[in-house]
Amino acid sequence: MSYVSVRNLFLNYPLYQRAPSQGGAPAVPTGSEVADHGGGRNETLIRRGDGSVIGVRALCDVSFEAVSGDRVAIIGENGSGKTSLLQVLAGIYTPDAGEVVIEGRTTSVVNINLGMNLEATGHKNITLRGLAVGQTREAVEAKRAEIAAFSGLGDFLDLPVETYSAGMRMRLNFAIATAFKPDVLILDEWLSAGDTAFRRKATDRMRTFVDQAGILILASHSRSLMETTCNRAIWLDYGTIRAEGEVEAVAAAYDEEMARRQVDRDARAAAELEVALAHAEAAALQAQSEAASISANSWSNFFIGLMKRLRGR
Amino acid sequence: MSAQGSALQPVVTRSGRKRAASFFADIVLGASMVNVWRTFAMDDMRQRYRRSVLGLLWIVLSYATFVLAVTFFFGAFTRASPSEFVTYVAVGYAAFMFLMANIQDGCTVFVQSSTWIKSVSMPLSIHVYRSIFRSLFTFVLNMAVALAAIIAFGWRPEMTAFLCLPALAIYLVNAVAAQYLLGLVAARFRDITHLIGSVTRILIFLTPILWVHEEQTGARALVADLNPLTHYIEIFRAPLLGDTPRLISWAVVLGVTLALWVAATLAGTHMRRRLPYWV
Repeated sequence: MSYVSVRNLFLNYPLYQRAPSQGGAPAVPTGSEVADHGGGRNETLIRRGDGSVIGVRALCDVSFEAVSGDRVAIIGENGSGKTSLLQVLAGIYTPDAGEVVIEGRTTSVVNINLGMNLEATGHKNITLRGLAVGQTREAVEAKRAEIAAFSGLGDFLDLPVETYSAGMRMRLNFAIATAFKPDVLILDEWLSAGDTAFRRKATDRMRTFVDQAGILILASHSRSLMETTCNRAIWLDYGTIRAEGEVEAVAAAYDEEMARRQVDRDARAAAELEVALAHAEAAALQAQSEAASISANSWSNFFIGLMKRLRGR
Repeated sequence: MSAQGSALQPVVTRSGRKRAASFFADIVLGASMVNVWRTFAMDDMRQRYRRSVLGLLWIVLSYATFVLAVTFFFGAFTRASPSEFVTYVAVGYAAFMFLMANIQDGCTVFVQSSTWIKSVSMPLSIHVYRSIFRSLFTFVLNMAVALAAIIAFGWRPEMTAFLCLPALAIYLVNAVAAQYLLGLVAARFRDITHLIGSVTRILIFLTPILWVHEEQTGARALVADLNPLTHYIEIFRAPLLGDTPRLISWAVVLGVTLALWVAATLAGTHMRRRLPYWV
C-alpha cells in the first residue's frame, strides 16, 4: 500500500537579494510577473519593513491525502505553488511548518535538466541516477536494457548527455525514473518536450504503474493529459488549495476563473495602456508648447520681429 | 529526512523541525551509501581528466614536479641533509595538499552538486563523502610517489611511522566536518569561497612545508605555531621522519576538530534545510 498525506503545509520561498531578472525556481513569480497579476498575487510576496521583497509565500496551509491507485492532477497558474508542492513531496524542500508523510518509495521528475551529470554519458547517468535513488548496482544493471529500450536513445546512450536535445533528456529521465517501480511517482510537466509516439508510450506506462497500486502526482497544464491520466484534481491558487475533486469539474472551474482573470487582466492592461497613452500625449503636448515657448524666446524670433518692425517703418 | 529505496515500503516523514539528530542521521546514512559516493567520485575523476592523454598521471606529475623543484631550490636554505629534506617536503606537501583540497572543495561541495540536490532526495553528506573520496584518492597517489621517492633517497621506516595512521584518521574526521560546514556557509554567503581562496594561497608560506620549522626562530616560528595547519601537518609528518609529534600539536588538532564538529553541527541543524534554495 502506498500512502501520501500532507497536513497544514507551509512553505516560504526565500529570495536572498536575487535580482528578478535572474529568475527563481520555476514556481516563483518574478518581479515583473507580480506586477502584471496585481491583486491577490501581491499578498504572496513577503516583504521586509522597507518594502523590499525577501521571499514568496509558495504554499499556505495545504492539506490533502492520496491512497493507492490515486492519480492526482495539480492544476494552477504559473507561480501558484505547483512545483513547490511537488518539490516538498519529493523531499527536496523541507516544509516551514506542517508535515508530509509518505509510505512507499518515491521518485520524482520535476525538471528534466536536473538529476543528470551533463558531461557523463547516458549509460553512466543510468548508473548514477539508479544508485542515487537507492538501488544496488545489480538492480541497475538488471534494468539497464529495459531503460535503454524504453528511452529509444540507442547509441546516443554512449554520448554525453549534454549532446542530447530536451526531448531526449526527458525520455531518458522518464525511463530511469519509472524503471525502478516507485510506489509514488511525482511528475511535473513531463510531456512538454516529448513527441507524440513517446507521449503515448509514457502514458501507457503511467497507466500500468497506477494499476499496480501506485500513487501518481502530476502537475500539468494539459487538460487532455490530466483527464486521461488522473482521477482527481487539486487546484492550487496563490499557494492554497482553491478546489479539489473530479478532474472535469475542477478543470472547468479553473478555466472559468482563468477566463475571468484574463478579462480583468486585459481590462487592467487596457486601462494601463490608456493611462500611459494619455501620459504620453500630455508629455508630447507639453514638449510642443515648451518648444513653442522656447522658439518664441529664441534669438531668431527676436531678429525676425526686429526685421518686421524695421520693415514696418 | 529521507529513506528512499531502503527495504520495502519505507515510511518517510518530513517536517520543518530543526534537530541535531537529523544532521547526524544524514551523516550516518550517507556514510552507509558507499556505492553511491564512490561511483560519483570516480566519475568526477574520469570527467576531470577526460580527453587528456596522460589522464590521472597528471596528479602525480604535478606533485612530483613541485616536490623536485622545492627540494632543489629551497634545499640550499636548510641545514637538513638532502634525504631528510626531500622526505620533509614530499610528506608535508602531500598532507598539505590534502588539507587544502578539503578546505577549497568544501566551499563548493554543495554548489557543484546543485543539480542533484535539487532533484534527488538523498543524504547531503553523500556529496561530502564524494568530495573527500576524490581528495583522498589524490592523496594516496601522491603518498605512493612520495614513499617511492624517499625510499630511493635512503629512507627506512621506523616503528614510529605507524603513528601517522591515527593522524590520517583524524584528517578524515576533520574533512567531514569542515566540508559540511564550509559547504553550507559558502552556499549561503558566496564571498566565503573567494575569501578562503585568497587565504589558502598565503598558507603555503605560513605553514612549514618549504622551510623547516625547527630551524626557525622569532616571528616565523611564532607564526608557524599559531597556524593550526602546522600542527595538522606535524602529527602526520613527524612520525614518518622518525620523530614523535609534539603533544601540543595533537592537543591543537583535537581542539580544532572539536570546534569544527560543533560548528558543523550547528550549521547542519539550522542551515541544512535551506540549502536547496541557495545552490
